Amino acid sequence: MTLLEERPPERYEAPERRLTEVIPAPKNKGILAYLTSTDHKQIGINYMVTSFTMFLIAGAMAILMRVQLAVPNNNFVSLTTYNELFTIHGTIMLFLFLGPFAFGTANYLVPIQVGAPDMAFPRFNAFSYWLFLGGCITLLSSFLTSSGAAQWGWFAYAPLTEWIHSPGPGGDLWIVGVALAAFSSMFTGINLITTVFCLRAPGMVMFRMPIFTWNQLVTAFLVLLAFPVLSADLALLWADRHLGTNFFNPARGGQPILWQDLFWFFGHPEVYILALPFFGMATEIISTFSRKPVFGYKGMVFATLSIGGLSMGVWAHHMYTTGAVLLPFFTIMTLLISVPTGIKFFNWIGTMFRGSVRLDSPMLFCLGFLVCFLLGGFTGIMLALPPLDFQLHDTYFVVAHFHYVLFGGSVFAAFGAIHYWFPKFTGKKLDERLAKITFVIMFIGFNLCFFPQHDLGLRGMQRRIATYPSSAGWSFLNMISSIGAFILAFSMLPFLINVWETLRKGKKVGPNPWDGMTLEWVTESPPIPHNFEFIPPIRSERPVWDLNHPDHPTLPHGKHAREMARERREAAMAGVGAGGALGGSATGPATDGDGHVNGHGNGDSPGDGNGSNTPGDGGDGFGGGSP
Amino acid sequence: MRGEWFLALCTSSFLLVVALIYWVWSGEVSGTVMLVFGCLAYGLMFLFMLTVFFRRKRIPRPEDKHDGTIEEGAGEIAFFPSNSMWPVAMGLGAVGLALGLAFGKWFWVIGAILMFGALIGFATEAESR
Repeated sequence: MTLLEERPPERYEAPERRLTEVIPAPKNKGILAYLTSTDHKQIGINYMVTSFTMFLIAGAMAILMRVQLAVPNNNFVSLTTYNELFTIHGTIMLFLFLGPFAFGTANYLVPIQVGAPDMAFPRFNAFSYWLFLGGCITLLSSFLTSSGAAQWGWFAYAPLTEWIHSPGPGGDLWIVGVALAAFSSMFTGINLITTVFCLRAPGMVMFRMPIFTWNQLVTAFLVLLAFPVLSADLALLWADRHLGTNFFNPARGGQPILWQDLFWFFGHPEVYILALPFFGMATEIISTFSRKPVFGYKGMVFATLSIGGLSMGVWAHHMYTTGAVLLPFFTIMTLLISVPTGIKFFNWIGTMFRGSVRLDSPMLFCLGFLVCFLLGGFTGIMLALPPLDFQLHDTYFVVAHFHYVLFGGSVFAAFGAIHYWFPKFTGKKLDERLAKITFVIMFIGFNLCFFPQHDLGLRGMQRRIATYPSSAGWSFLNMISSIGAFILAFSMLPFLINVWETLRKGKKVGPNPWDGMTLEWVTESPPIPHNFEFIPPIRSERPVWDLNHPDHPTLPHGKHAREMARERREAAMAGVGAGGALGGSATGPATDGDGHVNGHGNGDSPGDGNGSNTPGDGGDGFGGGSP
Repeated sequence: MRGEWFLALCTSSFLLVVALIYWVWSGEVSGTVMLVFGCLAYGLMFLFMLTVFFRRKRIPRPEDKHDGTIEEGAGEIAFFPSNSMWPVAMGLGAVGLALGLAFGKWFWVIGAILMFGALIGFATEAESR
């Protein structure tokens, strides 16, 4: 008796997973519903909308900076304002946009993808959103104080942050805003881990969770390692500023390097906190639009885990030029990270290879993500090498590098995710034509804006300088970069129009417009309260595909596949003749799957899973049979 | 539960190994301390999950079984309130406490009152349903 044969022919009503008595909801409407909701979907939307608003605000700051830098000797903004702008731009983008946006998608999608009715701690979840919103408002309000906003860059190096150098409440509001966001992230991390560990649907074993969920889980693990260190760091800084301690004050025996150590011990995992969820989104999208299961599912999971693990050991590669760190250790660890990242690239390309790729807008954004993130990754490997880093540290080369990683990587994937899951969030599909226009403008603007900055860095332009002399020879490239920034900003226009128009008069598209594969595509769009009326049997990492395409099921892999193959063999030996009934087409998938499963024999290595999984599927299901 | 506690164990032991290498090679204190604390944190998580695992007499939950059916998961899952005003009250209290760090102690009074009241409401809500 194999599991694939057990699949019911049609949708069936599974007994409801009953919830413990739900508090009878007072039918709140409007603002009160928004304030008191503990529904993970509402909170996820809140996170996404708030963080996207912060993205637009910080983007506007970036435009101001690019105007200032467009021509030499410019006086568009004062030097103080320029310092405030790059500080708050960086802080918002890193603490209040990318991270919370990822947590918003996690809030919305992770419970649905694992078949849970809600996050594990719904009220705690709401609390973390309010902390995050409080952090946003606190940070922005620092512009209104007498001292202005913080002017010390997003990583706030001591001793510039000491009271004597940066007096006034602006800096304190920066500390408080970041601390609130940090606590919000920690609580979300706890919530995510508990949800994934304790609320999965029956049959959803760890190695059947979608890659997006896996990546969010690893991100949550990293959050719990990184953010407490940041909070401690901020507490020390606050004590230095207000209680007269001297942790970071070299004049009184303090240690400024300690701030850098603590900050980057948080800061480097933070970079992966900002990247891994977006890798997960890209994986889901590439898999759906190639109409194939993820190539090397287990390899992908192990790559994510090893990126997460290694990222804990690379913090001081931001501190090479301090001369106070062990260069070989951090170089080796940093170069090691490129291996699992390379595995991910290999698997993304492997997923597309011989799939029937559809170039819908989410897939376009993901292709943009692959290209740009690859460039960012390469410059990252370059910067990991101390001889090069000593040359390029704190130049525009570094600026270009991390914008290629965080914008070219994460933001492109985020836009892909918005376009991909928008039908799930709202029930309406974004207009494809406008979405493609958005992508093209964004891709051109992004590369025009940030590619010249590599060269600017090589020509010696330091980051964070507010203006430069015309004799420096940087004028032309800076002008190009500023034009690119405007094009990039302009690309928000078709996107916002698209969202507005779709929300206003888009047509309902039903639960599964993209022919998606993971559990969120089986429920209504937007999902009903507590998410599921029924859950299909979960027998692979793409249960909805199995339900919708019973003739091209996802073949199981690993230990489970071997057990199944053995059972099938025994059944065939016994003369029951169950072997041929596997799947739809008579010989192809059965022998294919069987051969691969037997061929790989023992061992739970990632390669085993891939071997038995992908070729069989790619071979039989998608050559001609995709609807 | 096996996958879960194994994951925590892996994280913890990986951090231990990195901490040892880093300590022996560099002798630098702050990084080692942070790595060791990371190791201890996930070690704690591992031990907790291991006790849960053995308390359940190692019987796999429906979500740990490859052939688990949705029917097996029927029944009560947990307490999921649909609306609650306490999170936002607590959030306001927390922001008040935080603003006290920037602007002065009088903010703490407001923040503490709000936080305390909201915490009591939050904690008793599940019982009074």
